[in-house]
Amino acid sequence: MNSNTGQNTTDRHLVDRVLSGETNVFGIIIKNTENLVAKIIFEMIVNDGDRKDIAQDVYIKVYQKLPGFKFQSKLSTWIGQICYNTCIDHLRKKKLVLAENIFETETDSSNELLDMMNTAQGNFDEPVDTFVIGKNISEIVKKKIEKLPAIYKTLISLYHNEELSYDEIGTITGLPAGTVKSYLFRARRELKNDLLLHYKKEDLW
Amino acid sequence: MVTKHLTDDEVQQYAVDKFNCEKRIAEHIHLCEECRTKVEVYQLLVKGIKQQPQPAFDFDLSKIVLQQLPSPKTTIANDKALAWIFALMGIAFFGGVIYLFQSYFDLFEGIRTIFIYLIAITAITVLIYLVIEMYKKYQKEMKVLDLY
Repeated sequence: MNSNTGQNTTDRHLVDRVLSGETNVFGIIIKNTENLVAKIIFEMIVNDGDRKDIAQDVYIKVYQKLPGFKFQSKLSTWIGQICYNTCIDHLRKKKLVLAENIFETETDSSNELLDMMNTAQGNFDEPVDTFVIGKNISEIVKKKIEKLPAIYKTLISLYHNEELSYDEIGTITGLPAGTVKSYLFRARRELKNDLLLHYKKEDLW
Repeated sequence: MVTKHLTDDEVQQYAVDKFNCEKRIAEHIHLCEECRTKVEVYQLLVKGIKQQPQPAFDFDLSKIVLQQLPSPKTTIANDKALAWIFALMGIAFFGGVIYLFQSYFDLFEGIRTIFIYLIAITAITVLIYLVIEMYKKYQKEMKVLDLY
């Protein structure tokens, strides 16, 4: 709570300075929020050139809309929201798919997976982590994440890497917090299923 | 005695945020090896997600954006100067009017002083209001022109 209040004071101070004509202070706002913006853009936009254009576009929009910012959320969350909407507009223009219905027909392979895990349990007494020694879990997961639709990649990144709350992610994406939570559960489940299939293929279990 | 396994959502909840999990879930996982294995898979997955390299732009975004913004404004100083010029012009105008049309003021001799004050105060208030409105409009338009 206190950190939020402190953040809000800092945000207000920076915004006031930019609005009073200190354009250079806008550079501090960019530096403070660049990581969040990069996360959203990298997860949603594939093309490098487009990423550069969109990043600039986002901050130009932020600058233009700054007088209308009401401090109802953190400045970073508001910028994240503008970034997300800009990416959505870009995807729409390019007619790219935001979220395929890969989760709509959830393959209920839970029994199969359960069997695999039981087998694993029967064969090994060590914790799961032990099996990935020598294997780069980060690389494996990266490949699995890349296969997810843009919106799910974004949610995963914002929750686990940026460590935002469901509410904050909801504000950015315009989704209700409950939907964000539900999508995250689905995305992780899909990743887990994919991961277990991978381990099976690699005879790790 | 464990009779029913946890749902996948419950397993995930524990794997992602076990400190805010229901006691029932924690107790089940403590007792059930099968669910514990599922939790470990999710924990491994989350670990993998957290290890992902942080994306970063390979260009100086701040520099590029700042170049596209209007140069720092000196509007405050300009605005103050403008306000002083308007004020002086107003004083000079009213001074001139009083000096040139002194004879017309004889017309007011018959009117009670209080009415003269009322008329003067009303006129000045309306004038101030109009000047403020004009100034606000001017600032708004300048802002729009600056951005495009």
